[in-house]
Amino acid sequence: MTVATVEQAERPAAAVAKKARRRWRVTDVLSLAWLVALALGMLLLPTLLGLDDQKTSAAERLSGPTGAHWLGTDNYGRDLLARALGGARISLLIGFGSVAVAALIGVPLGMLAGYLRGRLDATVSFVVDVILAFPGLILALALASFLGASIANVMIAILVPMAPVFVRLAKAQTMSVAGREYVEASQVIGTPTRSILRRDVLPNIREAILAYGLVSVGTAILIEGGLSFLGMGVPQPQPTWGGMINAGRVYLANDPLLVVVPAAFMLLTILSLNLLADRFMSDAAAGGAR
Amino acid sequence: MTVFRTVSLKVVRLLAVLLVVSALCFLSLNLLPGDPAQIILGEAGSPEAVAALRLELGLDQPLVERFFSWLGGALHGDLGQSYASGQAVSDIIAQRAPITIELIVISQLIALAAAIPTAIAAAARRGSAVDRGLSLGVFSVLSTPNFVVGFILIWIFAVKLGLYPANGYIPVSAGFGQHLGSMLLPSLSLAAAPFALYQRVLRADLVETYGQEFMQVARAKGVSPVRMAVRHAIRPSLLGLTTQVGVTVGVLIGSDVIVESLFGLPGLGAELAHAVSGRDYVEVQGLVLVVATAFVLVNALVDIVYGVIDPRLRARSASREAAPQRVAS
Repeated sequence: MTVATVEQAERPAAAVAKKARRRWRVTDVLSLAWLVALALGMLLLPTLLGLDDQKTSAAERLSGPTGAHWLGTDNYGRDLLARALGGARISLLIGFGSVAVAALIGVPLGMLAGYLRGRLDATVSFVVDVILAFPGLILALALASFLGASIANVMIAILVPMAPVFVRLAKAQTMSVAGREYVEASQVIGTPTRSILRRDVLPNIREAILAYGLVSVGTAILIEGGLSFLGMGVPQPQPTWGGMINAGRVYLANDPLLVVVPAAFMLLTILSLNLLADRFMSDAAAGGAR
Repeated sequence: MTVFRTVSLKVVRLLAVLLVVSALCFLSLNLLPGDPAQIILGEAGSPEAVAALRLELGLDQPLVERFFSWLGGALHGDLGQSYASGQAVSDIIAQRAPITIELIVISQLIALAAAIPTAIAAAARRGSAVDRGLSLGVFSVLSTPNFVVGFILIWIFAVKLGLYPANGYIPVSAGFGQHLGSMLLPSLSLAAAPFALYQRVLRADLVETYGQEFMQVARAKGVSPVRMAVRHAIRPSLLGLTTQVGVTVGVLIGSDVIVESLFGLPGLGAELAHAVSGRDYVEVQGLVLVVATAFVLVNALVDIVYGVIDPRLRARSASREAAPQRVAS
């Protein structure tokens, strides 16, 4: 899933159409609204409603929606809303955290490789080729199994296959900008490479990278779900959406909410991220080299 | 001359990547803290067994020598033994690979068969209700984990309609129809994400093609919409899709692990998941090596197909004459 969007994100640089900035569409507003609501809910609701995602209760197992438990409880009597919000915390931490680190490693390397070319580019590209020789989830799975289960290790397992894609994206984008007149002008007046990259190149490739980053956050959350499904995700009793779906699937017939609640949170969140990314991508395409 | 040079450089690079990939697979076991023999045998391994295995693995020899003897073995099909089952890893792979390959090929076909018409429908009327509806659907598919897609399919087709078995594998020997029936739901689950990716990529390329002059000429001549799509629009719009098909093989291989585990198909993916959770490191090592090698080779193949589809790329590498640059894929 990850690499797909690079193809799309690479287009903007060469896009011919120069349109005005896109207006906000209904889906953009809804996406943003969901993410804001989720962030607020995640931070405020547990305190406001006195929710505890770890508290078990033998009397209230699989209760279904009640006044005390709006979305019902799971097989240990834990509040599903509390767990979905707790899962949001960890799933978003994993999503944004692993993508942030992957981008912080990948983007500078890609920019340097695309700007300086030569031996550095050859070395970086080779390392990228080697890492991408492993299918993403297989590498994540192998890393997770060798490293052992913990939140930090899951993040490492996710970001290692992800960073090379940021390298490729940043490199392609940088190369398309590097030949422009304003970059040449900077070179002529002797601006140091660091400043050129930061002031002339980065602002022009930012949107494509941001768009890809948003998609990657969704991908990272999906990969965590996949790792959980295979028993290599964040260990219980820490809630993650993927982990909840998998723990709940045994009860799919009796109490589908156990799967539906975390799956809905996951779907809405990743969908919002993807739709917003799509907007940024259109913006990048429209803006070209502003 | 130049063709030969380009091709041989590519081959050298390919081999170098494969060499490093295999070195990483080899090192993975040796970089884990602790004694590899102890790790392979687990806590249960008695000191005698560990000592015997140390000797068998040649752990007393230097790392580089061990790597090359391991690599030599791997090239001859000796990937060691699974410590859970005692079976040779190469036998496990030979047994299970056909199921995985079949699953991936069927899924690719389903994904392409669904993506091409929907991409045309969306691109031909860009911004219409059909286009926007498809977009939202495609984004939703991209936002759903494939095992959830699997749950939904199982729930609809196996639980509610009782049409297909929820899981289990039926070999071809038990009847071709039944065999395909047992592959259908897994294939659909696996095809969902690639379908969405292909639809996005092909739609974007088609939108661009539809905006070009020759399409306007065709429209002005009164060419029917279907003929316009099939005869005029598709071929120049296939480049992005071709790349995507190659890249997506990696996605498919990853999702395959999950889908096979979910549906209980005895393929490579389920075996890998099993080996990982059982900490059967030798088997994991062998499986990952084979899967990564296959993936690299498939991508090399896609590279070649690329040149066949787009004569411009061929021209560029065949001679030094400047070929027209590909404008915004």
